[in-house]
Amino acid sequence: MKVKKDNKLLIISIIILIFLIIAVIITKNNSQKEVDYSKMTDEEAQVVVEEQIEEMEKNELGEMGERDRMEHYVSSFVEAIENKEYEDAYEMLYDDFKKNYFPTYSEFEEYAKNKFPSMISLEHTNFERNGDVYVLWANLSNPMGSKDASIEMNFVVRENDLNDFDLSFKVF
Amino acid sequence: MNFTEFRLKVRHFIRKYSRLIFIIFVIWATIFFINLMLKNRKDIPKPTTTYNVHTSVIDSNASTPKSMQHPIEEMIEEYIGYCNEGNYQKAFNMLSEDCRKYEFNDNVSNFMEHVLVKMPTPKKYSIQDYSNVKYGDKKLYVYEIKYIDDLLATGLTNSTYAYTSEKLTFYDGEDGLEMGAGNFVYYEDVKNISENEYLKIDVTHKIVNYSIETYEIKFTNRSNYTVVVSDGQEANECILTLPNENRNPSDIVNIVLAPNEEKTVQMVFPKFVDDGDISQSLVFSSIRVMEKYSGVGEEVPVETIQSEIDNAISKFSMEVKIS
Repeated sequence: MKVKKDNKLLIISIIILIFLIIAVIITKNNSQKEVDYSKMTDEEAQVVVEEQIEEMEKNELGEMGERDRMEHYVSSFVEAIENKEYEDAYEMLYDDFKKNYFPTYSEFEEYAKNKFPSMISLEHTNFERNGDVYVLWANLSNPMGSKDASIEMNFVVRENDLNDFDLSFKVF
Repeated sequence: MNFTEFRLKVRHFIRKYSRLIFIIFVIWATIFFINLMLKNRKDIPKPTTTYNVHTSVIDSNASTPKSMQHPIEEMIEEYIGYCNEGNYQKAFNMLSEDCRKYEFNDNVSNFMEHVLVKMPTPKKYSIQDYSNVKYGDKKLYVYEIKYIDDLLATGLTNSTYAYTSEKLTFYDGEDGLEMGAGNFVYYEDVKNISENEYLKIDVTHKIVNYSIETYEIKFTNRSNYTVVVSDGQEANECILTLPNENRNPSDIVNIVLAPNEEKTVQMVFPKFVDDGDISQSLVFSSIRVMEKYSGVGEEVPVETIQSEIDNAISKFSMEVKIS
């Protein structure tokens, strides 16, 4: 009987030990996730950096409230236009909106070049949620231009996940 | 104490408390393991939102049971799908029997009119549990539906931000999930009577909409005199009593009964279904039995009206319990 009892204790002790070893290995693996760029090509390193930036951005967005996030998405779109990254801005637009108003990228590019100021100051004025769709009101102006030239715009945003959204705006 | 004695004492201690030592070790190891796992757990950030579809707006601690959430969503989707397609008969058939009968008079054209006011063109929609109300042994789930154009597809180009809305009510009925539209919540047979030698008041039924209660009341004059229940001459002639307050009807209803006349009227009282109060009774506080009644209005002198009231054969109040 005593032998059996001792065996039981031994088995439990071994199981606990195995658990501890697994936990230590997991911890070690996680801490070793530091990326070694020296073994990568430039392209691979760039992809990794982009992934890390995306992750950081997601973490930052996760900390924000819903209004701040929506304003951030609108700002990203406006910033892309200001930086003349029209393709990036076009990618952010909702598919049906593109179909309705800018079926081709070149149409959007031409529109953005002609209609938006070259330097943009964005002021968010109002915000409303309807189900999972957010409507934002904003004033766009050229900080170097006159105040009267500001454009009042609506943006509509739907967030699918952090930093994954569909956007449209009032075409003027 | 020499070393051998100390060694023996330690050995003796370990043998004596081996079980306790083992238990302490197991507890320590478990805590250590859990702590290690939690420390290394990678939290995936999720977007926070104020949009909780099935949490009541009126009481944020109340929500629709999980088992009903998906069926309600599906039912709304199907219903609005039919409305958007113009398939009004199919949408109408989805409504509860009471809703079809008392809200739309069993007429699909009435329903169609209602739908066309809410959604004159095909619409997108959003849903929100508005309030969860208990009525008898039934639990009612009132959802607010907002009908809106496809904002994302237009970006509000050539349009302004506007929407229509209505309350859809759901409850678990005998034949499964039942739905009411047009702000209809429920119908109840009241069938409560109050009577005396002059008058019989029979409250037959009530129809509860989201923000009003409508009572159908049959008045029977049992006398050979004119009985005035309500003509706007006295204060609070008809009131709906709630536990802590009284409500007057939305519109003044003239209820003047000729000798032995029978009259059925509908009285509408403002009352939100989710205000936490239960209607107690209908009180008619200034009933007058009059030998002579010239009516009211600009053409009738005030003195005549007052004199007729003063000379009434009887003045009394009647109450009909409705809960």
